[in-house]
Amino acid sequence: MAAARMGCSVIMFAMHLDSIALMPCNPNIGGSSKGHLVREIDALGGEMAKNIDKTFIQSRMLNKSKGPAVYSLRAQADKRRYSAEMLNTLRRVDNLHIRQAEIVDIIVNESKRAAGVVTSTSGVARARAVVLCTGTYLKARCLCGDTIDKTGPNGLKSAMGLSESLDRLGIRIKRFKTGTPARIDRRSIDYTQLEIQHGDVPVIPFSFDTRQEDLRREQIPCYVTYTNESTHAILRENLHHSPMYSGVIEGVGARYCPSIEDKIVRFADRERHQVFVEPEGEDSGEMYISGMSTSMPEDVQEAMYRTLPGFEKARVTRLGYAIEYDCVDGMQLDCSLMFKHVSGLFSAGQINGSSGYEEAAAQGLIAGINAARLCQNKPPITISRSEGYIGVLIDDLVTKGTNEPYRMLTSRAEYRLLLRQDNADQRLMKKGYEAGLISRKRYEQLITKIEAIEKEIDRVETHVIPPGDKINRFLEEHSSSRVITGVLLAELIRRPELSYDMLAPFDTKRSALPAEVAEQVNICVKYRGYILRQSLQVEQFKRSENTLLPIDIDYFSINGLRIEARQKLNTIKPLNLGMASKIAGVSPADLSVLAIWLKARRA
Amino acid sequence: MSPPTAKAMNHLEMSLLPLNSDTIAAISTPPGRGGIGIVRLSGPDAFRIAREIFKPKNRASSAKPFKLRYGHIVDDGNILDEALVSLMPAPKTYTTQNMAEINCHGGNACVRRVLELAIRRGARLALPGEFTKLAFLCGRIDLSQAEAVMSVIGAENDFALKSAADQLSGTLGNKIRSVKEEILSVQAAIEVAIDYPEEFDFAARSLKPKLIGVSGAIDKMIQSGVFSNMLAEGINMVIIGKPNVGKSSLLNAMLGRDRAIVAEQSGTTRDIVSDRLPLGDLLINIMDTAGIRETCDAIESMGVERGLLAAGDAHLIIWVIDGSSQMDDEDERVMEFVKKVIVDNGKLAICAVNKKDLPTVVNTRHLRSRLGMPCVRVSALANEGVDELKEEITRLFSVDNRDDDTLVTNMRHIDVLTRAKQALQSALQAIDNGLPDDFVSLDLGEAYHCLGEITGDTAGDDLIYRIFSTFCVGK
Repeated sequence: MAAARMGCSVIMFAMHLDSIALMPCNPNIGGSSKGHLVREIDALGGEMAKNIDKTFIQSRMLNKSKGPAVYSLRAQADKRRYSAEMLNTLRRVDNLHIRQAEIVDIIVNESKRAAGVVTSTSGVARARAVVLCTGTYLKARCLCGDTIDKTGPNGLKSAMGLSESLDRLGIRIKRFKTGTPARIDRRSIDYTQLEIQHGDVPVIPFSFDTRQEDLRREQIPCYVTYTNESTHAILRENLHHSPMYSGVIEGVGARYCPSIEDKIVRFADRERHQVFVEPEGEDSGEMYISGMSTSMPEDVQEAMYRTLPGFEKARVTRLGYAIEYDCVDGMQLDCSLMFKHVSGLFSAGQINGSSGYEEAAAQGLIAGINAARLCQNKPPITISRSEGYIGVLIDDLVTKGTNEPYRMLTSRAEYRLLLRQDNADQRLMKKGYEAGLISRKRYEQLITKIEAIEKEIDRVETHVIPPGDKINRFLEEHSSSRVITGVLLAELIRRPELSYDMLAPFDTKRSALPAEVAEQVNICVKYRGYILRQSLQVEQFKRSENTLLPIDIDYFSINGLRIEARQKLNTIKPLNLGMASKIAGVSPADLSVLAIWLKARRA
Repeated sequence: MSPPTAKAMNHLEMSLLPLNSDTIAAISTPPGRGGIGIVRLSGPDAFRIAREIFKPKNRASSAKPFKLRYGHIVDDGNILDEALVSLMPAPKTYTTQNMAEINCHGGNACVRRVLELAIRRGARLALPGEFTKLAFLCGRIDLSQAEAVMSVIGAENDFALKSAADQLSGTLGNKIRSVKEEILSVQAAIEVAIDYPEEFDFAARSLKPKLIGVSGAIDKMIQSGVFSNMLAEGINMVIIGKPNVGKSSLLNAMLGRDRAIVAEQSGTTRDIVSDRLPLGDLLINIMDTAGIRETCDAIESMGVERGLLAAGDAHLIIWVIDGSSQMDDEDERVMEFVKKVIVDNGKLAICAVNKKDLPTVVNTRHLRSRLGMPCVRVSALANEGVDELKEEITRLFSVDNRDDDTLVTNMRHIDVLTRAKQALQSALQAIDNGLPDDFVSLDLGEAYHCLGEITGDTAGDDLIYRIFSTFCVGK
């Protein structure tokens, strides 16, 4: 979609046209760090945020007490409508042709550049760039007890032909595994035994452009329950039936997304595990049982779910299963998501070793943008670790690689205080504008906003509030210490118990500002010390990112580098010193040696 | 050739300059007992730090750049050493940054103390080869020397890592690793609750005691560093007490010769009298001071002041009282001072109850329980009890008497531990100030990162591994 909007003529192949924007696993978008990704996608001109704002059935802002950088917006989606809305959006894009077909081969010309694709019915589509987004379909097989189905997610057809083609191109392939829980008939659960969870009022949108009035709708509750000893007993007795433990599964699963059988083995001392019961949509008759993904045989699944309180009469509508699929080693890609040794071939999403809808969408957008840029002979648009979670995600995948499905986490972002979900527009919209996905008008609105924020911060940092009875009464009411002399407004805002908004009555010079500006002023002023500290680190990192490392360096020939560093650097071939500094096994002294070597070489 | 300004330098140079805020410091003369030792500072705070620790003799003369000035190295008003200092403003310096060079007396102890002082004032210990690297990158060293510079850095790095590894094989290594583990476990708990807010309800506040414990453990390691320096360079022992209780006599008795002038008249000692006393394996820098009392005599009062300052800087205080007369207000005042430095600064002290040759009226046992410090009865004049006093000193400083056999001797370790402790303190402060957990985690990450410099770790995924091995999460 991005490439088409950027003016390229695009053909999009899907295994099934009805599976576009299908959410085969959890029915939600966002959550910790993933919510950040969605906001960043929005700032760059992607669709995910707008689509979930249109189709959510419940929304909550989590982590509100833990600091502005880790606020976490999460919404339950109406699966069917989410998919339908996205398809509608796609259909309205000029230059975009959507076609159902299985791709089995990639055409490569004599200079090893991607030149098109071949379908299973021998159709040929020629193109100057190809983007692969194979999800969990590539050579997929689903496992449930002893039963193995050679299908993709949700019983859909898998893509069997393409792996061989990739292999022929010399692309290294890995095998990952993930899983999903069963779905339960909505009417067969006794909700009186479950804890209820309501959505937030008012709802905070994902997209910077969604208006409050478009968010109004009745929200649908979710529920919480817990496993118990009888659940665990059933699982323990039947462990030998699980393909996870019988050795049938070859793919590598993620530690952060364990199946319920995995949980009771690895955390045997836990008496119970939390289970979230989430509706799959407004009109859907099914509930998603989050926290209990499984590949146990049918009878074990039935018995296991029925041990949950409120689930005594539960009827399974779809069984849980584990799914194995092919993916590529992300270290073969550059930061634009193009294969280093096959020009014009891009890949995004699960094929690069990631998991999650948001991670996939973020990569899809970057790959799409860069495929278009390549066709237009423009340099790629990339995002640094210091600019966004998308940058962290892609850098991790292409420089560190991953040996399990990769999930975004706030802990992975070392500059997360600056990469907040509330400032994604300030960080990335400029790039969206450069790509041509953000209109000039929208970009100018952003500039106005940024100017207003900066101006107000300057004012707040110099505006003095005189002491007086009124302010001191107010301070005492909020258990804040009294002021005896005049005090900077900024100093008051920095007190944990106060905020920019609260101090409005004492700030006589304040002009009416939009809430989004006030929010930024509050955060920037309140946490100034920490933010400044991280800004300095970022500045240093950016400088080192600007020092490029030619791809043809033979690190083994550089004296002074430690052996481990030589090996790591030779394998990964980082593009710049910044990337090199994030590689495990490369010490600060190694970086010094590298810098000196570079300088000597340049002379 | 015009000097390279920050603007004219290319990314390569910029990328490896220390962070804007960093001022680096190092001893730039070879270790050992040279005649002179040089401590070098480079960075934005180099001048400030130099001005704080160096007081020129002639204040009137204006500080001309690149000119040596004579004066003293001072620490909170205490004179540590004589020194020659020159300030060199950017950019025409070895590193193109502001630089200060402090020439002090050679020998490990002096130079180290000056370096320690600079670090306490905000400098960071330079990385192996860092000055050379800066000089090279800004064109101060010829390009043909690139290979040599690289191997210097490589070798120093190897050596630093190797000596770190050697030290780390023993108790110290285990201690640091366990401290690191503790920090990581707290951080993982905070992080998992951030990344899985619905599954884990947790507040950093609840782990505050654990963090205080960790901070204490680091502090102990730093202290042991100070302790080991003390063993190597001598224990500063100060004799204090009100006038005429026999301080100077005690000094003479301990030295076994008449070093100080002793007279009936009180207030004889007006300045600090010092000497060295070997005591078994220990070396004692023994100092006698003017008696503490309120005095109108200007010279004597200066002596009193110096005595108090010396006591504040000492490792061991010998407080002398006259056992043949009841304690009076002046004794009480000295006692309050001694108690204060014991509690606030963790000093060691012994009370010497003098004049045991005369009828004793002070109840030693009572005094001991009241003070919580050893009391020894002596007669400085009759040379009685002096050996017992020496034994008591030896006992206090014997390694067995420390509850901790870990000695941090490496300056780099002390630097790193100090920075780790500061980060931990900042985390605790964040908790106390009610800052959200995200900020606490940030400080903890910094503490962990600092300690990684000792264990030689590089960028890695420790935190994420820890989260998933400790906590059960996932849909």
